[in-house]
Amino acid sequence: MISSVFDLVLRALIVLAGTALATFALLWHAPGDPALSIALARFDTLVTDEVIEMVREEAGLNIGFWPAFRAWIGPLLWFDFGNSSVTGREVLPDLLVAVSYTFPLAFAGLAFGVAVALLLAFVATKRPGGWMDRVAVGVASLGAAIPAYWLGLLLILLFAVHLAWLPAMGARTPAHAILPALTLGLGVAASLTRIIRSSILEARAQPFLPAIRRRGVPSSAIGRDHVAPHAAVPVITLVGLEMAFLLEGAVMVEIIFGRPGLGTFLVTAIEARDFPQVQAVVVLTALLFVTINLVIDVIYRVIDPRIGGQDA
Amino acid sequence: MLKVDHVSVKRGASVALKDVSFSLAAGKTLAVVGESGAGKSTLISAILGLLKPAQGSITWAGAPVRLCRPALVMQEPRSAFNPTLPLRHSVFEAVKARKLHVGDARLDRLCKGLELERDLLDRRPAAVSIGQAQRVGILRALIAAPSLVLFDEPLSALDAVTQKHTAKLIAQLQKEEGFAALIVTHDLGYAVAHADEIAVLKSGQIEEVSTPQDFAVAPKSAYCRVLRDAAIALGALEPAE
Repeated sequence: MISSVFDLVLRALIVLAGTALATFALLWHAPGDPALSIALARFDTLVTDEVIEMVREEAGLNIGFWPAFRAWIGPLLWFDFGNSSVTGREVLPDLLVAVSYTFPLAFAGLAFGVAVALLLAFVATKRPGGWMDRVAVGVASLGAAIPAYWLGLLLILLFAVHLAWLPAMGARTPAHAILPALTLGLGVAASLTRIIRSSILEARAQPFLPAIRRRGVPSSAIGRDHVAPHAAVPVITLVGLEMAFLLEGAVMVEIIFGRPGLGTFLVTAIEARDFPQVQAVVVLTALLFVTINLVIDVIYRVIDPRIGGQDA
Repeated sequence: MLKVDHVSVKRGASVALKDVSFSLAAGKTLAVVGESGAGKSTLISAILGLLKPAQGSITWAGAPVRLCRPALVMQEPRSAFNPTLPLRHSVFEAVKARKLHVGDARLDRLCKGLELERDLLDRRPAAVSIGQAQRVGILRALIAAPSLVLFDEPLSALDAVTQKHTAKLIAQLQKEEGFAALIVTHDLGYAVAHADEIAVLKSGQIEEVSTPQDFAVAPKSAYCRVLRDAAIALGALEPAE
């Protein structure tokens, strides 16, 4: 077990190193002159050749790819993302402010989505094929068919405009997060419900369960020992993926609800060709994806020791 | 005593068992034989209470069979266990759930009778041979001292040598434990050698219930004669002298 977790961590580090290199290379070789974009963002339209060259030197764009990469990757190991090419401020504090808006929103959306999906799936599997099953699957299908931007606008119309119960725009109070979290969560619930439902049904159909029931093992113990662990593996995979994609999905929701966060941070940085800021967001996202996948892989091995070849 | 009384079972629109009746006394063995699709597995499901008879009743000592906690030994040993848990969990699951006490002496005796090392129970199903898995399946069935054990093709997944050995172990343990055994099997040689009675199922109906000797020497129905002759031709059954 320990050696297999060590393998996973090693692989995760290789993925992170590759992502860092690819991010840096893609931005470095992107079409157009980054020095010009940065100069335009900093000094508006009053840029001369001298200003552009000054920016090129300041941003380290004139020292070649590998020296620039080395200069970037070294401090990155200590979470030093450098200074913004546009504002000159340190990237990390600004990034953390953006994260402090986006992460709670994404996690609230995920928690709400998982709770709704579990409820709908349990209702649906109470009597497969029954009317409650059909209603739950219908609700999930409807949810999957509604895009987040439209759902967000509908929620604003209902709860902010007509009922005036909740604020529509901004991020001043926790109440401002409710509608965005609902928008994200309902999308998660839609995709998770069907997976949890089919996982539970598949787990209940394991061939050894009828005989166990007849030997007098109660349903609660069967659910705990045989159904839940079997059903959990695909569900955990999807929850992990949803968690990672929610951080991306939050970008659109932030725009709809006029919230600050990673979305605004990234769009502004890309427009200004602010390399350190863009790189910081991409590396942070990669770190999250890799960490989430690592945690999922470890959970797999705890739930089902066959994964990872422990029976071999 | 297990009493199957005029039982009919429907599966969808078709009738899987038609007016099936027989009885099985404690300590005795009934082998149910027949070709594939004859209704043997449906019979097991009906006795376990997994399928409700459309007509008739199935009882153990006059009460519903589920009250006697029948044990089942499945055909595919590996799919009979949760693959993620150690075999020990599966063996003792029902014992713990029913708060029964199984002493070390009993476990040792059963393990010895089944030629199983106790350490083997700490492994998961994939880490033991198929023959060992089937013997652990029998151990699991017998650990709580059931009155009725249903064997669904207990030997068909095993190789010839392991089949013979396992059949001998089942017979020995039945003598020691005194349970009633209903064995569904394709293997007529096994049925004739180990059963007290043989019931032949054809298209969901009992064709004949007879002693092994009567079945081997003088089957009553034409179908049973065909079945017996086929088994002799395949070498599964010795010709009667």
